[in-house]
Amino acid sequence: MSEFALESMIVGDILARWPDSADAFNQHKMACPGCVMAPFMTLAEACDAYGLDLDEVADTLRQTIGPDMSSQQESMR
Amino acid sequence: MNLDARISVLERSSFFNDANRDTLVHAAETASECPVAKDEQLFRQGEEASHSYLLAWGRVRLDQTTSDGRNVVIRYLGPGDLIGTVAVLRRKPYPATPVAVEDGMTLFWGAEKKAQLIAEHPVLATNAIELTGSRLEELQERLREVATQRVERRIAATLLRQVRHAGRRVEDGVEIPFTLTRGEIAELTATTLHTVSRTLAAWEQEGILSGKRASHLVITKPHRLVEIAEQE
Repeated sequence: MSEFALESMIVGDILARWPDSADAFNQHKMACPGCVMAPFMTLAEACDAYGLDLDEVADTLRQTIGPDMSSQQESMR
Repeated sequence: MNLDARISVLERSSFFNDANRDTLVHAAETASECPVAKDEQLFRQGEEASHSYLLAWGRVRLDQTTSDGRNVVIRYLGPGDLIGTVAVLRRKPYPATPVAVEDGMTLFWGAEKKAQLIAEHPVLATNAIELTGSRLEELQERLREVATQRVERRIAATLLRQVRHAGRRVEDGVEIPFTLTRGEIAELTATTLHTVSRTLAAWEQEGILSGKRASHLVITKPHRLVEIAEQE
């Protein structure tokens, strides 16, 4: 899979585009779904705030979003 | 503003959610425009509610004067928010005074026209209920906070509410993009100016907030502020 820049995406945008991603945040005990700050922070910043490993969280997200990813990527071009 | 510009203003307001083209055109055609300068009042508390406003751009503070002469900030309003509509529809005097905190522009309708607009386009009635419902919910939330929560938590919640309505991502954090004095935060939180000053100073010390950008607050540790607002 080609690299998708989830890391620099805004958390609120990730949740809006892939509602299932809430599961991934929950798995890492991140309270991003529904948080007032979600529209203002990138995934990298959110991981930093929680002291979590960005790559691990991004991996979980990719697994959750999974099959949808490539088509979304195409439509974004 | 031409018709298209007005329509795009209306489209950004939740009062016009799910409104079709006919509704938008009708509302845009029947509206008048009125610019509002910083510190200007749109109308005064107690006056007969003759017009209903929609803020196209700018920011407005809603003040209410109590019977013993004290001023209370009810809430802040931003682009797309309705002002005076409930009073117009209830045929009651305006319950508060909207004061512009920055230069802005309003669209407005006379009471008759507004009532007619809602009667002819029921989607607007549904939206009006939704809007008053969400304002009520917010006031209930504040009442609950005042009754049950420690003051730091309430101040954090007050700031988060401003972020929810108007927050903007900036280089070093999340900005509340309008002037919000410590006195106003105190009124919105139902506490004293002294308490707000002390709390904000402590948060600045911790790097949670920054007041560098003139009078605009920047929340430099957004996650931490949410934690404070949610702590038991």
